[in-house]
Amino acid sequence: MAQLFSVMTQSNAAPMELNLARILRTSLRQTGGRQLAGLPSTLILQDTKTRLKLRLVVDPKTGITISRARKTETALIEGLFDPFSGEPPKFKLRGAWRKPLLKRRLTQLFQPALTPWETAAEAFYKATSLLDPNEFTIESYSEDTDIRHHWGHGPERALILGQGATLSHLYNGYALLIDDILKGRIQCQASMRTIAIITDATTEYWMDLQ
Amino acid sequence: MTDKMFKGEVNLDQWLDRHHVKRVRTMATDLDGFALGKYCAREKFTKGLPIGHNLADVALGSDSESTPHLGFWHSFRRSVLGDIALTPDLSTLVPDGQDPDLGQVICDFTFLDGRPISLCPRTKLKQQVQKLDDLGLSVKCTFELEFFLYDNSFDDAERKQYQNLSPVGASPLQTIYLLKDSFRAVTFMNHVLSRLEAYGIPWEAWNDENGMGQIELNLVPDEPVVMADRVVRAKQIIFETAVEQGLSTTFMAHPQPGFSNGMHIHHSLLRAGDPQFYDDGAPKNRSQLLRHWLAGLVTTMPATVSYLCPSVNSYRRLREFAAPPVTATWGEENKSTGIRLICDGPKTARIEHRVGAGDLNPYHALAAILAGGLTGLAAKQEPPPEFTDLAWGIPASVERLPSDIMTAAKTLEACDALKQELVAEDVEYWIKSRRHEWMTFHRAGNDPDSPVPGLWEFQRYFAAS
Repeated sequence: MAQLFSVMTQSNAAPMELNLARILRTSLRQTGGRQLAGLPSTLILQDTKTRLKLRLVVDPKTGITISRARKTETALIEGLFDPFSGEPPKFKLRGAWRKPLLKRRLTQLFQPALTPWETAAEAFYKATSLLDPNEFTIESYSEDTDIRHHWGHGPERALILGQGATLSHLYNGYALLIDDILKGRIQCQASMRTIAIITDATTEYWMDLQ
Repeated sequence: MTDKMFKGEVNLDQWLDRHHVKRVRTMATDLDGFALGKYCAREKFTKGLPIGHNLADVALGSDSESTPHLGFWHSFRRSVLGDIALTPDLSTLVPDGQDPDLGQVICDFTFLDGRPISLCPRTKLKQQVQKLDDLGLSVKCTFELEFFLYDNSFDDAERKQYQNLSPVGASPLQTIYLLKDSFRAVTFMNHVLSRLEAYGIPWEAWNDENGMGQIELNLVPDEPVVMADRVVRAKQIIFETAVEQGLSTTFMAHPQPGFSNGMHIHHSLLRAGDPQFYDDGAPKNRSQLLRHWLAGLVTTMPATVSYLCPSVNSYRRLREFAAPPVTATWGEENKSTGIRLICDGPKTARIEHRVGAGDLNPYHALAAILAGGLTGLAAKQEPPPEFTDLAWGIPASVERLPSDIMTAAKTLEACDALKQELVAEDVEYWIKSRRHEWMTFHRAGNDPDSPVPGLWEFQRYFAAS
C-alpha cells in the first residue's frame, strides 16, 4: 500500500502557500515521497517578488508543514514562487554547486512532472463539481501543437484557445483561467456565464476545493 | 425632520413641488457596502417609476474597484453584460436639506420588471425582517458609528499615501471622551448633525473615541431597514461634510496601528410593540425567547464574521486585548465577549453585537445577525454557558473567531443553517466575492501579517468604505 504524505499549511495561508502546498502534494504523490528522505529537516525559502519567507518542516515519514518564517532567517532557496505567474516556480539553491543531489531532489519537489495537458484536462473536467457535461460542451485547442480536447455534450459551448504549454500549466493546476484570459495567454469564447463558471471551476481546482 | 419625508403622501409631484426638488439622487449599496446611484432629472425620475432607472448589472457584481466579478456567477446576471434596475423606495424620499434642488431616495437593486434581486443587500435584510414578522416579531436596533477625522483633505491624504496624517483633536494623547478633543471636531460634527436632522435621522450622542481623531456617533434605534438606510446616509453625509470642509474621514476598519473602527449593533425583539428579552419570572430575568435567540447568535457567530468583517482590512482589527472581541462568547455587561447582553429592565434589555467592523455593510451585517438569531429560535437552542471572565488572552480551547477573510469565508461556507436562512446561492456568491478580494489583495503583493495596512488597502478602503 502506498504511503500517504500530508502537506499542511497554517490556517491563514496566503495563495502562495496554498499553491506551493498543492505542488508539493502532487510531487509527493508522483514519487511516493522518496525525495523527502534526503532533505534537511527545515528548509527556508524566499519569494523574490514579495520577499516573503516560508519555512518547510520536513518529516520523511509524514510529509511537510509550511509556515511563515521570520524575516531574519536565512533562506536556502530563493526564487519566484508567485502563484499568479501561471508557471511552475523557478528557484535557485544557495551553494547549489556543492549540493547537486539536493538540487535534484528540490527540483523534483517544486517542479513535479507535468501531465500532458489533454490528459490533465480530462481529469480536471471529470473532477469538478461545478460543470455538468449535459449543460456544457467545452473544446480546448492548443494552437502550436494542433491538439484538441472535447468535454461534455451540452448546449452551452466554450472554446478555449492557447499554446500547449499554457494549457498544460492551466490543466495541471499551475494557472488560473481568469489570469490567463485577462493577460491574453488564453482566449475563451463563450457567454459571460460560461466563462465565469469554467473560471470558477479552475479556481476551486487551484485551491484544492473540489 | 421626518415630516419632510415623502412617506404617507399621495401625490409625488405635489411633494416634489413643495420641496422644490428638481433633481433626485438615487442611492443603493453594493455588496461591499459602498453607496452607488445616479443624479436624475426630476422628469427622468418620475417617468421611471415605479421600477426606477437602469444601471449595468455589474453594479451588483463587481468588487470595490468596480472590477466585474468575471470568475464566478450568480443567476441574477445576464449571459452578456446587461442592465438591472434601481427601484426607489419612495418612503425614503427626502429633500437633501443642503442642496435646495436635490431630493434623495434609497433604492433596491431589482430586475428590469421590478422583481427583487435576492442578492441585493437591502433586499436580503428585508427577507430576514419578513421571517421575523411571520413569527409575530419585530426588531428594534441601532448602530454605533466610529470613524477617524483628519485635518488633511482627501486629496492631501492621497498625496501623502495616507501616512502621517493629522488627526483632528487637541491632544497627542490617545484619550477617550476628552472634551478638548471633541471641541476641535465641533464645527465638523455640528454640520453633520444638522444634515442628519434634515434627513430625519435622529441621533443620541457623539464623543471623542480612543484613537487620535476618532469619533463615535450614536443613532436613535428604529426598525432594521430604516436603521441600515440611516447608516448609509449618515456615512455619505460625513464624507460630504469632510469634503466641503477640506478634511477627510474614514470608516476603514484599521487605518492606524493600535486603533480600529468598529460598528457595534444593538438590537432587541418585540412582539406587538412590546420588548421580549426581559422576563422578571425567568432566571436572571432572561426570557426564553432571549435564550433561544442568543443561542442562535453565538452558534452562528463564527460564520457571520464574513459579513460583519467584509474586507481584508477588517481582520487587522480582531486582535487580543485590542478591544474588539476575538471569541464566539457572550456575557452580561461584558464588553470583551462577542456579544454583550444588557438585561437590566423590560424596556432596556438588549443585545450588543460587538464583532462588526467599521467598514461593514449595514444591510448584510444585520441580515446575518437576524438570520443567526432565527436559527436559534427554530431549533429552540439553549445558549452556551455565559462567559464571565475577560475574553482575551484565554486558553486556545475557547474557540476563536476567524482571523482572516478566507477563514471567515470557509467558516460561512460550512454553516448550512445560515446558508439556508440567507439563500444558499447568495451566500455562495458572497463567499466567492471574498475569495476574489483575498486573491486581489495577494496579487498586489500585500502581506496580511504586516503590522500596518499597506497602500493598496488605503487606496481601496480609505475614502470609499
